[in-house]
Amino acid sequence: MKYNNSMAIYWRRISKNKMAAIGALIVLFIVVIAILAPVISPYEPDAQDLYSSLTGPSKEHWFGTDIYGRDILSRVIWGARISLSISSLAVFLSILIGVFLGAIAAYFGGILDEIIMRFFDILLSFPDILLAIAIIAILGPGRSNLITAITIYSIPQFARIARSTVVSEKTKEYVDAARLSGESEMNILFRYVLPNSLSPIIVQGTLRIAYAILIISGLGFLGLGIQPPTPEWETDLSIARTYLRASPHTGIFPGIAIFITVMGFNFFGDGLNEILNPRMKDR
Amino acid sequence: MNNYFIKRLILIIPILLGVSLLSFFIIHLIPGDPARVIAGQGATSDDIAVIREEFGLDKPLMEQYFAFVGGIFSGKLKSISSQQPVIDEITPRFWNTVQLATFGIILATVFGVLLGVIAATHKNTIIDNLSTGFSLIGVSMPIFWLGLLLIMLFSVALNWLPAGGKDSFISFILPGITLSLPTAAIIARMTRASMLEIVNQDFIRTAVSNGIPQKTVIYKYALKNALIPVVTVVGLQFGYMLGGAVLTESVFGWPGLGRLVVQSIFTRDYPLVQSGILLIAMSFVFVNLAVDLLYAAIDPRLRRKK
Repeated sequence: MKYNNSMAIYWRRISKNKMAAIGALIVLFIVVIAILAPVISPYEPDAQDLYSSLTGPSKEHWFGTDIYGRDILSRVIWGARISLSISSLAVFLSILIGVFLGAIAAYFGGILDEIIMRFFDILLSFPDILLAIAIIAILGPGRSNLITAITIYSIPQFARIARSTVVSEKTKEYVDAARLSGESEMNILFRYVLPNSLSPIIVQGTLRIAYAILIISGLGFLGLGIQPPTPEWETDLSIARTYLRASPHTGIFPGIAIFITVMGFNFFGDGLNEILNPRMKDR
Repeated sequence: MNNYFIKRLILIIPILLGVSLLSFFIIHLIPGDPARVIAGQGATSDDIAVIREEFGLDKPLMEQYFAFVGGIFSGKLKSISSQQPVIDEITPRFWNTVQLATFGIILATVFGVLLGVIAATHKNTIIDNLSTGFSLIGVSMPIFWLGLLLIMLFSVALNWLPAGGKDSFISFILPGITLSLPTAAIIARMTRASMLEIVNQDFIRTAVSNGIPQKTVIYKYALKNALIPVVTVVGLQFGYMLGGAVLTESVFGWPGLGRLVVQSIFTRDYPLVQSGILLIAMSFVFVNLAVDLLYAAIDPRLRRKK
């Protein structure tokens, strides 16, 4: 009951914050499309029809067809599944691992803290997409390797958030109280201290999904992501580049799909940030 | 004051060590025998033995590591496909990336700061909202898609600007805009937030109540202070651009280092991959160092704390 009430409060706040509401709607829309892909996509995403290769948007093919005569609309719809599942799975994994490592580092401190955080400093010394590229260079392209790369790439962010919360919370009185009442250290850390970092982690997680989609798209574009013929927005884009001159539509629709999805998550994350950290409102 | 500088300088030693170790281990982390990985499919066991010998893969790891790092700079480490020293392959490409990133960061800073200041001085008006909208679009746009759109518009449709290559200053324009958009968005947000914070402080109120014209207050007193955190963002973003330029480079066929690394992944030219990644990461570390030191130099509060 209490849970229901606080959810209701959050929903009310989200609907009041225009940005969060728009973001939530966009995200919801994309998620629904991804789930319903088999039902709503007009064609099989892999079905080739070489007689209607590179046709522009028409009644039969709303978004036109690509070089193999595949329906771009269907590929965009199915692509939502791939992008969303990979990015959210990777972010989820990196939250689990990152929060665990960051929390342990901060709570137990000392040499453990030094080792863990210095290692993350090293990971963060690879700018932007480069760390993901290095990991793909090791593992080779492919779906599960892509998830691994994005996960490793995002872990330090969450570790830092968890760490800073735990560092500031662990000296507070309720921790001593819990310890005196005989709670185990692990219990104190994970049941009482860590929940305090929940809201920054939710905000960061949402923004990270947006960023993960961009990174996945970048890797896909470089040919280091999902390999054809899987319907995926960015790999499709990199194929489209070849035919830009004659058939610009092949490059436009997958791009719009990535752009809108990423924007949805960014709006939602920014809005959540305002809701959960009222002090940030004027920033 | 000197304490902080020395501390910060010492701190980069373990980072550089870690970065170089990680780059070195790329070849050893690939599943399978490194010599076989380098030799590629269809190599005979004789080929593999030759490669193991040539790359010193039979030596202890420690020795291999020093040979790798030393080999980059002494020219002993050679690219597999061209047989040239990697340093000779990498340096001109790195220079191209630095040029593009420099142009990109200048564009992003000028545009971002301008937009941020305008947004802050017109808070909660339509101008502010437009600027916020631009920022959100900027960070949500897949950079290579933006590049494709710019090519479609300015190269294919209008035929004003070249779609790729690096010939003259004109070929900097489209890649520069592409690379700078997300950064401009971030800088604009940062400048706006920083300006709004400064404007609410006492010394600005005093300046205004003393009758100093608003323009002078904004551009002379407020902006100067507001730019301190922006400097950090600009520096960090420049570092990110060195690595992140790889997408822009690929869209526009820019002969940069990131693109060379990606191409080398496909040709399995691991010495190039490793040393390219190491060089980009190292320059990122040094850019960060420079930013931190610069920040301490312009913000005396930070120095005194240490």
